[in-house]
Amino acid sequence: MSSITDLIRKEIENLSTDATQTNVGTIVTLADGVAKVEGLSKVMFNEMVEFPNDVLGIALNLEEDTVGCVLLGDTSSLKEGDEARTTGKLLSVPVGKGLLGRVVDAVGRPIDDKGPVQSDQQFPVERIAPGIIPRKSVDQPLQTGIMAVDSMVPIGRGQRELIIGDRSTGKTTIAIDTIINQAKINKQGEDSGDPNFRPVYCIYVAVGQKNSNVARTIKILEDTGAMDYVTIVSAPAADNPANQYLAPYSGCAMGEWFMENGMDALIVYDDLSKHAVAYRQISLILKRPSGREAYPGDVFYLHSRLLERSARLNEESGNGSLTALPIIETQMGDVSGYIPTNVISITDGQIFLETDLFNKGIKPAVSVGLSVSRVGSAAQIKAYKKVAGKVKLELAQFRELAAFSQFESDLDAATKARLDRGARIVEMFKQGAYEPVPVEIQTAIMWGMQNDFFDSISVDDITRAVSSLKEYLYSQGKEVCEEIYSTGKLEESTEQKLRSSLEDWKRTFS
Amino acid sequence: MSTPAKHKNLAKRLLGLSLNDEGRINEASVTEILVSLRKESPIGLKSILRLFLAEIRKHEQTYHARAEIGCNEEKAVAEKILHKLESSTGKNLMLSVERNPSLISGCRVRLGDDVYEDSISSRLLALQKSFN
Repeated sequence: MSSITDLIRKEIENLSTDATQTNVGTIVTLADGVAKVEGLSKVMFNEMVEFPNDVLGIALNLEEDTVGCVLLGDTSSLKEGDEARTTGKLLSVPVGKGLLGRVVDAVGRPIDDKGPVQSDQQFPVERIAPGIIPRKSVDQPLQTGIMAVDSMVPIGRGQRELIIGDRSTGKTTIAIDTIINQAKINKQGEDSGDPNFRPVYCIYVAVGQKNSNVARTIKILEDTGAMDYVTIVSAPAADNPANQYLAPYSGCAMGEWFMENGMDALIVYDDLSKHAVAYRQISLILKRPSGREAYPGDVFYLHSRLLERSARLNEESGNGSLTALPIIETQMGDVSGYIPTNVISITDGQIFLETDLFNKGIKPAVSVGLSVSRVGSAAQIKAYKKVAGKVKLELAQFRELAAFSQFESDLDAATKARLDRGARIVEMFKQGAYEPVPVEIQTAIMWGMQNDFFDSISVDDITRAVSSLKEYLYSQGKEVCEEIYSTGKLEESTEQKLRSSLEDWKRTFS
Repeated sequence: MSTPAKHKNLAKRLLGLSLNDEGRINEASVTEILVSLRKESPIGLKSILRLFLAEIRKHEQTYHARAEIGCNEEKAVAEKILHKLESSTGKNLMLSVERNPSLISGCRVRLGDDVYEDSISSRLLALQKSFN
């Protein structure tokens, strides 16, 4: 009991008893989560404004007589005539490792019934992106565990790679697979006791999604044991547009903490189309002038200032990184829409998912022609680069030839060989959801493909053969895989071991 | 320029005409303006009058401090605050005081959009926030 009274006494002693000065205003209109406030003559742009009943708002529109504030949280208790007061603070969210394994809302409040977030540090949600001097080129790989992505559109730590495609084409699955793979690599690295191992912490920002979808994602991450390395920032469709607008910035602030403290982090924005829609809604209510598709003029800046915050920092700045995987939903495969073209131009490449491929059962439905990684190849490990170097070209040639071969009855041997190889590569890349493959296993499979180990297997059996080879490599081919993993190279001796392993597997495969 | 914006500008000009040399609202000038407005009867008179009233109220708040005190003995404190405000703003200010028992003790002075407060209720509120 005495400790409780001491605690309260200490709190009272620490309390400032000076007179306070605040700037106040009065709500004149209140609609759709936006309040127009008269007064607040000293409010700053993006400053947090306090309303009655602990409702917070952000000053977004500074006009001559009124201030437009977007409100966060439940606004049903507010009414016209209520007093609003400035706080002198920018909106901040808790950051740090205490957020790992937690689900929080757009302002960092826990929504997972696991108690308060253990964090003693806060970062403002809006921050200036790192400049040129502290940055460094992308040179470390970030393995997604998806063969089609890691071989053809490799991603490096600090890169911004857009995942784009129509609805239900597997965009979120690619992002979740990547997160699961990071967790697997993290566990493997931590178990190895390697002092140079750098884990990748993940932040998944769900914007405007159904609560059921978010719950499913959480379940998948928990079931795969990835949740220990993940923070989920959720602003579902039922949330007000202000929270949906803020969620990506909050998640980014959480990721920046890892980057600025010399660690690596990955952030998934799922998705920025809905983020732009939420921002459009706010802008229209704030009566800002609208432009193309009724989006405000600064919708490009909305995404550029967010994605520019992802970076790879140099050694002097702590060597940390923040990789971003923004997701954009297209309509009828149209990549030339307003928001898709904006985000394509901001990012360092895109993974385009095609509905036709998805419907044909080619999953992940990565389009070879439209997918590109502008910086990631510099980060690919040497062994993988050696086996995956030609695969994109081979697959692109296959797609072109496949289109023409439909009209040809007589094909020459070279074309037929190319078509056969292409069909086998397509089958090899087929991969189930939430089953990321480690890079050393991917390397071995790709090496097998490049060295004709799959040529005698019929195209229909390739998927089964790849699964069988994976199982073999996990059990009997462990040694050679570990060699590839530890050296990151495919030396002649390693290739010999790989050959004998694959010959051994081929004998057992029927 | 849209009509409301025109009305707003007109209301601001009328406010300028209503001020005396000290920058305070002159009752005689306001009466004169109202008479001439009634006589001219411009389009949107109701809207103009509303905006004019809002401008007058807003301007009055810049030199008319309103103090709320927890108990009657604290009137002197409010006056002391007013003197300090006068010296910091360099303006000759007016003060009206009223009792607000919800403050418990202490006072709250509002001048324009600024609120200066030192009361028991505000301290309790700060304590409550620190526990959250």
